[in-house]
Amino acid sequence: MTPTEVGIIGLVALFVLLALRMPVGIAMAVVGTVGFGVLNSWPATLAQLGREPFVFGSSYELIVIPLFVLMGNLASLSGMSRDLYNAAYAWFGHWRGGLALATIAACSGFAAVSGSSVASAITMGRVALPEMRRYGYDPKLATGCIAAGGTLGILIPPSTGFVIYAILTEESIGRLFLAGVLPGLLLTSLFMLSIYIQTRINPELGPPGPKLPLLDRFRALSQASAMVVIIVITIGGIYVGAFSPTEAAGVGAFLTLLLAFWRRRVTGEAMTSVMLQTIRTTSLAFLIIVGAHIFSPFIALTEIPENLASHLTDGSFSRLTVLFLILVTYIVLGTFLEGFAMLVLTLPIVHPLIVALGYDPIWFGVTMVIVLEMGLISPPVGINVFVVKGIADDVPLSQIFLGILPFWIAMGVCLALLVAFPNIALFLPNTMFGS
Amino acid sequence: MEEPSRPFEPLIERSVRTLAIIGGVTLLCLMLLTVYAVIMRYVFDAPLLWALDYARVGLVIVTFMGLAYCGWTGGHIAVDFIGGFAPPIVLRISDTIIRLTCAVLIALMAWQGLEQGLDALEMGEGTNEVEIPLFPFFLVVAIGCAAYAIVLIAQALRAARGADLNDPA
Repeated sequence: MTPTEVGIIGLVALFVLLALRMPVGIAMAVVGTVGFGVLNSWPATLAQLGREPFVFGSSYELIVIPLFVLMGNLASLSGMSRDLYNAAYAWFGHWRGGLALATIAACSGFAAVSGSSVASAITMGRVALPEMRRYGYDPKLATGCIAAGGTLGILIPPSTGFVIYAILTEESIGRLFLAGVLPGLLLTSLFMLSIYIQTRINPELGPPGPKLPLLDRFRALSQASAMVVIIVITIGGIYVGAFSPTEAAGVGAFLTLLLAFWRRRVTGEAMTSVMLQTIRTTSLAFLIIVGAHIFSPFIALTEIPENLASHLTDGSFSRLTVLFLILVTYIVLGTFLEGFAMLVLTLPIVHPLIVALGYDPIWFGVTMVIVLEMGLISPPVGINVFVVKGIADDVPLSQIFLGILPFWIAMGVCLALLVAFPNIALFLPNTMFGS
Repeated sequence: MEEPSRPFEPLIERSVRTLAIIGGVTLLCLMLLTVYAVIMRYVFDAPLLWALDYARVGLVIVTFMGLAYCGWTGGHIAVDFIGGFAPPIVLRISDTIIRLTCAVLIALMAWQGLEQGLDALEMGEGTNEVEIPLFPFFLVVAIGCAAYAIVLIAQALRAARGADLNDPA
């Protein structure tokens, strides 16, 4: 049996195990262990099982994951999300669809302290949904904008999606973080444009709220200033080279904790809950990373990535066609596969292909995260949709998906712009680190 | 008929939660360590090389002490293709087999982690800067994985009796 045949059997086995509800990280580790044993040696595969967990469990670069997750959870605890929403509401609330615009703006701000889309959707949903309902917003628009706005969490740095991509592809976390900034702002603007168009066509979707006096607006803005300072210190610190991403995460989490103390939000029970949530998310990410690193050497031995790359780069397909096929495949996979699962399962094969085609892997990381975001709000397994459903349990899923559709289209537009103008992603990292 | 009580499940619950809290406290220490290292570097121009070593071994505790808790609370990402249409008996059998397979792999990780830890002890391996012995941290990997293997076995037993995987009640 050739290595490629063993690889194909391995891939089939992987999908069977996944279909049978085996956790993704373990499924990859099982197939990687058996496959590596068959193609290499059993003592080597056993040694790998002992080594890989320790190697990744003690990798300095990876401390960024729990620290940024901690920062996001502490941000929820400190009540920052409410401040952000109030500030955005004070400025946009009196416009048509203004509360939805405020939700997107607040989601975008919250994304700058949280690396998780689910956390962003839960946090902002709890704050924004009752307000939108109070002002008679259409449930489709209200739930759609929260589910979509929440996805900004993994595009605007810090982002767990970028960290996992960076670890799996050995790219720079700092570069990826900076690459996510402008596309994140672009997508925020497109979401807002989508709300503007929707409420222009049908004003009933989002009636305007009361207009606040200018003094109140500035007061609301100043309430959110603590958060702005933390964002500037952490993300700005990475940009000017003052901090490594790990240091930025540590400092950001510490400042957020101080803010939570200052606001008297820290209790024993609340901190225990924050710690447990953080540790849970961290372990989830690490098991996947370890599984992917046990799987990758097996896939490399099967020569599947090389064969695929040489087949697709032999001139029979244009670069753009291959890229288009990859992105469409991801969008389709995203409709039924969980985002991170999709990322770790496909990257060992797709990343070498992208590099062989001459695309910038940092740019591809950003496009992948946008596609992953689309998956987060696509039926039938879009996690953010279920998160929003959990907050608005009287709104049928079909209504939520309908409400999401315009935002999903906005994401498609963002993706097309990013393919047409890669510098949207590459400008900031290239100006900071050089191209 | 009332379900028989399973005293080991509350014990597992308490144990995995305690391990996770140990991980959480370690993470708070790592956060303070990072801030301290930044202050020392910028304010006192005295970079702390040892901080890197402590951060590395600390992360092992953060990561592996939470593995079992994450599994116990259904946190590890899985893809539910068959849950919607497969008959309960099929799910019962497949979940039992899958969880036991997972337990075998994770137990292998625990065993190999311990083996490599013993090697590290014999060779006197330590971290780069201040030579913190690596053996205790390999032990943390082994303990974390062993705890998760126990959780997986408990979940296999739950699946075998047709109960919800993540609901000990």
